[in-house]
Amino acid sequence: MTEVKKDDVVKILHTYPLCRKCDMSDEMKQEAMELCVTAAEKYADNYESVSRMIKETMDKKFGASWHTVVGEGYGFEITYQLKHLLYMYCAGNLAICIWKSA
Amino acid sequence: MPPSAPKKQSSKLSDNSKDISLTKTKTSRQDLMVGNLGPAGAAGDTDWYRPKTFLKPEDQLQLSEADLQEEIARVLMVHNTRIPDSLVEWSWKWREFVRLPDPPHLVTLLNISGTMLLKESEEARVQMAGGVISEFPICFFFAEMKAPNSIYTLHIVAEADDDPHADKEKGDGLTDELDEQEDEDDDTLIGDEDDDDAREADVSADKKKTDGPTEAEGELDEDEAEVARPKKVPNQFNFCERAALTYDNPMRDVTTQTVPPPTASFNGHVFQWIIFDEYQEDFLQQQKEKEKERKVAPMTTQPKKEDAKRKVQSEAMAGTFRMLQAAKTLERMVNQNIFDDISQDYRYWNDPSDEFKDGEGSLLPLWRFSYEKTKKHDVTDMCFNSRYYDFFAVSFGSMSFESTVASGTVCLFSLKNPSYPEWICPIESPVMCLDFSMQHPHLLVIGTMDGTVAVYNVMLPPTAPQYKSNDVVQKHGGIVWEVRWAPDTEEGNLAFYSVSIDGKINHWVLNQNDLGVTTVMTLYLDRDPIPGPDGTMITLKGCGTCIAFHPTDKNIFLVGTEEGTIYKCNTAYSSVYMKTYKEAHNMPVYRIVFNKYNSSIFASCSGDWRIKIWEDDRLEPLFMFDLGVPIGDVQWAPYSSTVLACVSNDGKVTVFDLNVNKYRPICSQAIVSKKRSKLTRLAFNQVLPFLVVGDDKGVVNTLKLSPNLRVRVKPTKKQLHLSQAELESLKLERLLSFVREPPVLTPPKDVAVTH
Repeated sequence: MTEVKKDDVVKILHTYPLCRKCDMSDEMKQEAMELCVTAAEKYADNYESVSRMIKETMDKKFGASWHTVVGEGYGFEITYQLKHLLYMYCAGNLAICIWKSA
Repeated sequence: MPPSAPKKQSSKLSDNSKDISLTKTKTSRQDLMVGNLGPAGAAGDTDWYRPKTFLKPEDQLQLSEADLQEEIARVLMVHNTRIPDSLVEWSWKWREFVRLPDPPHLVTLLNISGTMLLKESEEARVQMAGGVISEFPICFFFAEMKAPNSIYTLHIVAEADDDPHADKEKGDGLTDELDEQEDEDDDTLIGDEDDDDAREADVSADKKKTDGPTEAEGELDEDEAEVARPKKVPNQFNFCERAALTYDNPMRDVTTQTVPPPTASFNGHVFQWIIFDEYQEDFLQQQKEKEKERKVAPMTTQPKKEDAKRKVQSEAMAGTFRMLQAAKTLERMVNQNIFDDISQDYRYWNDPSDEFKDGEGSLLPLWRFSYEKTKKHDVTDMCFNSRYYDFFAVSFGSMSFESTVASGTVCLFSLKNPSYPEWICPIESPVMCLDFSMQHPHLLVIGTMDGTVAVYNVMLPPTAPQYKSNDVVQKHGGIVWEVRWAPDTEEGNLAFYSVSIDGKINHWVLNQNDLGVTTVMTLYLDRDPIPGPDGTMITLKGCGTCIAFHPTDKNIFLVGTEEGTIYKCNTAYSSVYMKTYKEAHNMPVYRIVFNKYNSSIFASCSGDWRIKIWEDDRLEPLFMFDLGVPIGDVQWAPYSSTVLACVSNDGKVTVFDLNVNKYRPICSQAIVSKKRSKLTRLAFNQVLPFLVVGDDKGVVNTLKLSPNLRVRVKPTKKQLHLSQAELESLKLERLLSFVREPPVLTPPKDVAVTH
């Protein structure tokens, strides 16, 4: 019985982008989240490419020195420029943290 | 290269140059072997080396004498083997390799650009013309390369002034030789060891490989003779340099440091279970919100109450106008209840005591009209409406120069509502006069203290005037004392006149969009011009204070002035007065009014305490009344030809009936307190026997005339067929006949009114 229950729980696997922390302006946030989802979908098997794409696009759009961490498990302690941080989950198992620090 | 070798070779070449002109030379193998030992051997001529013994390496190939004597031919070809042939290039145009022309068989060994000029050249000629000193020898040295034949020619022209002919002969001979050699297609070098420097020799030696000929060519300088007295060329080496150094701008470092953008730190851990848990949490949250929305959704389907409220509101807004109408009616009803006794008096009460008072009447005060915001204003003018007899306009302004009143108001009052004006129009400048149009009772023209005139439509809200004079180009230069509607223009436009203290009478026409103005008359005084402050002569102008138009002849009008003069003018002539009533008064004329029944009779009142009654063509007044106080206004009664009323500064209304008493008023009644206020203006109602008087506290009093003040003419039996107007006219005529006849009769003396 317990196993069946577990299975029931496991079945609901959410893949929608979930923003955990963000202090960006609404416009920037929307764009950044869209970018992260797009990158994660495009390079589903290569997290380095994901992070590279996110970083380079953000650099182009919002000025230099963006940093991106993409991974399934990591810990971080970062210093970011205010109003330029986004920490979100994506595709169910991916945590993406992007911030700007010049 | 040792210096001896070229010398010998060149001398040999010069000796038997014809032999060497063949490109084929013969070199033995021995020579070649010797040549291996040193560079000297490369010369190829072994004759010189025979006595010498050569060291031979031990492993050298031993050759027999025959082998040694065997001749090996070396052929020097014109063809330069180093130059590539069949050069091709890819042509993008043709899409194939195309053959390039062969490069020239040309080797540049030495290229020295000399400082010398060919004597025959243009530059040399110019220089000579410029004055080169001809005593020095001139040398021309140039190398000429003839590419196609790969012939290097070196022309050395040396010339000395003392012996030009010898050189020339020598040079000619060499030239001939050179020509022959060139024909044979040889690489030749003709070297002429002249008395020149060693450099030339080196040059010739360097050309040894190709054995080029050197030629010395001398030329006779025949041009020298032509240059007799050459100009002196300025010494181009004689110059001096000048330079200046300016101060450097001092350098300074300026640095700033900006505050770095604010930062914060953030940390976290990512594990798959954390991601999973937070997804779950968020999902639950979303589910809850959805449920809430579902609960809220049915709630929002009942906004009918609010809509109903809005509907009621909009209906209320639509009903506002009707509400206002109803409120107005109600207000009037309330007022009627409050002032019921006054209303009764106004209509029906007649002073019964008049029957016993012969020749005296009284005034019954009715309502007092005032408006809260104009308590400090003077009533400057009043005018009844021509359509509604109980409706009148009051202008509030200021009569005195010291007044602090800076704004004005026009109020329309109705007798039906004495408590509050029907229509209130605040105006930025004190309003001095107004007039209702007879033909268009809704149009009200006003004149203000700052010289502006404006026309209001009283049917519209009093927000903005229909017409307003332009403040810059149109306005009067001073107080507009009176405005009067004029007959319509020929085009059918409405028009009015205004008289101002600046001495101008303007005719204003209400055009489609604006006011057109014409100055009808400027009141120049017939005095000599006086010198102005800057020396110009100024013609003095009279200050117009009142205007009255002739009731029948609309072109003629009377103007009263501050000087007390009355001018009779015609709108057709703007420069001449038809008549001047000089010193009609001694103080400003406040009002001129024509009699309602006889258009040749008019009355005037003034600050000199007097009322004067004039006939048109007489310069002397017919009647004169002295009231002892300045008289603010005088009006003829509309119902009688002999009744006129005036208001004076002591707060009294005085009524005269000339038919009853030619010397004394038949009524003089104090209306307001003498100490506190004074009366300013007066207006008769056109229909009912009452008048309104305004004072300097912004209050308008309504006064009913008692029966003795409105005595009608009783027609005799002969006059029964005549109308009331004719009777009134006759009455006045009869009265005037007493005064006029005999013409020599002096007018009666002033009679002081006893109070």
